[in-house]
Amino acid sequence: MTAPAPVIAQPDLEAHVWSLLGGLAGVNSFAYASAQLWPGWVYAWFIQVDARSARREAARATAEQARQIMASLPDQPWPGGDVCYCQPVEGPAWLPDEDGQPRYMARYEVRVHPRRDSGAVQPGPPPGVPPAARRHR
Amino acid sequence: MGDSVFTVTDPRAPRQAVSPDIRSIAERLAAQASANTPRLTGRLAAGYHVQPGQEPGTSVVVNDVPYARFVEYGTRDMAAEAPLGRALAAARGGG
Repeated sequence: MTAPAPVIAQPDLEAHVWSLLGGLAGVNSFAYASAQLWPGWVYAWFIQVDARSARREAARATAEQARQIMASLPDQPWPGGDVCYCQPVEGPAWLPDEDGQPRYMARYEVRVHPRRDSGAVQPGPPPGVPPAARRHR
Repeated sequence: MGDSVFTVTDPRAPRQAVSPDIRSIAERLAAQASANTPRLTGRLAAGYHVQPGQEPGTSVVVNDVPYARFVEYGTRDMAAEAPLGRALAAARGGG
């Protein structure tokens, strides 16, 4: 006998990161990949953070501010979920735009899961019930 | 209980032993990055290759095409495609 897999709603980490970084002038962040880790409770998000400014020194300082915010993610209160891992994958590194404008780029791996008390985990359907029937119950 | 004494004759040997496997992993990453790369002329997708790293047991995935970094990391006016980043993410995530 097999148990039905639970349905797990994942928190929006990309929006959470942007809510923390969006206040820094010249910063842009986006997720370029994500992966579900076994057994499905934890998601790994891969996030790139660009820091731009008119001067290289200012871009570097902003990138460092962003790095500190990213490193503090597991300690930031977040009703949407729990950040259980954050490590830089690349950078911050000097990577000017194609027109030579200053930019520092960094990439991070962030792992997240829903809060246990958030109701994000719902029991799966009874065995033998096809997906189409489930939706109309 | 007697003591055992070992003499390390070649401290680089462990890294050299795993070097072929590391290179194999790097070649798989390069192939996946190539598969992830958008194709117009195919030059960028064909440009991924593996070089030995500076230390034994390390390999480096390289793409010498001048615009590779713009496609990988994006620019002010162009979204990042991240072909190598996505290959690495899949490998790190167990995908």
